[in-house]
Amino acid sequence: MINVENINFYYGKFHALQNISMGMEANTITALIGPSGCGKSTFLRLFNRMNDLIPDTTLTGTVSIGGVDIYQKNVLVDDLRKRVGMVFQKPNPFPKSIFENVAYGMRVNGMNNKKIIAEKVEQALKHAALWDEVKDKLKKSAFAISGGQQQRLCIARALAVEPDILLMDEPASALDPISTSKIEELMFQLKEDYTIVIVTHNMQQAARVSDHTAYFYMGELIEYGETKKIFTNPDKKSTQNYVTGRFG
Amino acid sequence: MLQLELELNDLKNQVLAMWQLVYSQLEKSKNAYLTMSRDLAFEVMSMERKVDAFELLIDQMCEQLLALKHPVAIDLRFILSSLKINGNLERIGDLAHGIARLVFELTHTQFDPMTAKSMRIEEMFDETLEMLLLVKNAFKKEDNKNVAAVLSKDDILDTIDKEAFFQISSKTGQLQDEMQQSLLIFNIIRKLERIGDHCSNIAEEITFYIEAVVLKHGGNN
Repeated sequence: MINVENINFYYGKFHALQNISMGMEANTITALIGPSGCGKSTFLRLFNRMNDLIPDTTLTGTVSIGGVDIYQKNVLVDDLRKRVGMVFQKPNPFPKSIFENVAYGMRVNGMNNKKIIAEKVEQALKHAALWDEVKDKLKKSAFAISGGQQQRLCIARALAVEPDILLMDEPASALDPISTSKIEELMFQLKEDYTIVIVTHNMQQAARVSDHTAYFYMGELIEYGETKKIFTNPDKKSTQNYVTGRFG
Repeated sequence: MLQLELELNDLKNQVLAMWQLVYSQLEKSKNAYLTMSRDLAFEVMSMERKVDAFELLIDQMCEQLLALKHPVAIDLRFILSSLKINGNLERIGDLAHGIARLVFELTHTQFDPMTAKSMRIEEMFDETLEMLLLVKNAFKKEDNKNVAAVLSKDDILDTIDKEAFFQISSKTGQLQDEMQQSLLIFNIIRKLERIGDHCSNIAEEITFYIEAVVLKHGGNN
């Protein structure tokens, strides 16, 4: 599904990602872990070309999704971002109603059939396990619901444009345990239809939700493998020190 | 040192303290047997509760570490191994206690040291004590290079156990007192053989902890 080959990424002269190659299978959850500044968020942003927005950056190597190099000149970034949704650390709903937040992507993409939009909003909210909680207040402001609900609303917003891949950058770090649990349960359901890549500082969360884990340190991919292996018997001492909390 | 490391060290120290007690129980059982000492046998029996208390304490420490610290990788393997080693040590303590009871009963018979000698029981005591010491040092030093030696000693115990069985079953014409004595001694041999099995289990757990390799049941890793 996602394939990365010999990636090097620079912020100016700073070598942020160094010779990284790895593949991610469809319908799996991959966790990216590592200490702050190790390059995991930079790596995540490669997949929807968000790093393009940062000035004075350089990328070498190839990033392919479904066999297509997404950095080829003929790839339209807008089209790419329809296929690759993203959820951020803090919930960031638009200052609009709950309904309009989810409908926004569809409208931007030129859809104006009200019936289809309403159906897809309902479908996305159901998929994000939020429908039952908001179905009676769809016209209320998105800011009127709790932080955990806002984050699931952002997930629904990302799902509404029917992406293939969902990127999550610490999606539960600002949430209480119950909301965190709901997001994690949601991820299990979503992986039936989507490929998920998540950045997390929470080791237990990475262990709980992911199929594969990649450990980054100082811009290098130190170890990548099945999560159950990484958290029971990692190959590298450095990985063991990090996951057991002795380092980082 | 991390708080988790401190707590894991505490756990290790408790397991080693229990090990020392169980070793002492087995050694006293041996000496009670060799000297037919009722006092020493009674001393072993009276210390059994302390072994049980250790088991409960270590169980509780492991449970709390798992619930509160969410250990992973080598830390998780250490706790899982400690939990299983704890169970094995408690069983060895039970068996040492059982041996002491049998010695107590033997002191009420006309004990014939030659019968015991022919069944190689002293050798069994020595082998089990050495096995217990080998696995204790392996755990303490986190070094499993002596695991093979422990497993081969277990084979020696199995052989002695089988020979003793045939020796006793061939003497059905014994007098009642001799037969009773033989059965008591054979019971001790069976318990020592079980202690060897527990030492082997412990050796396998130590290998799992240090190398993440499963040896038990022929290994499935």
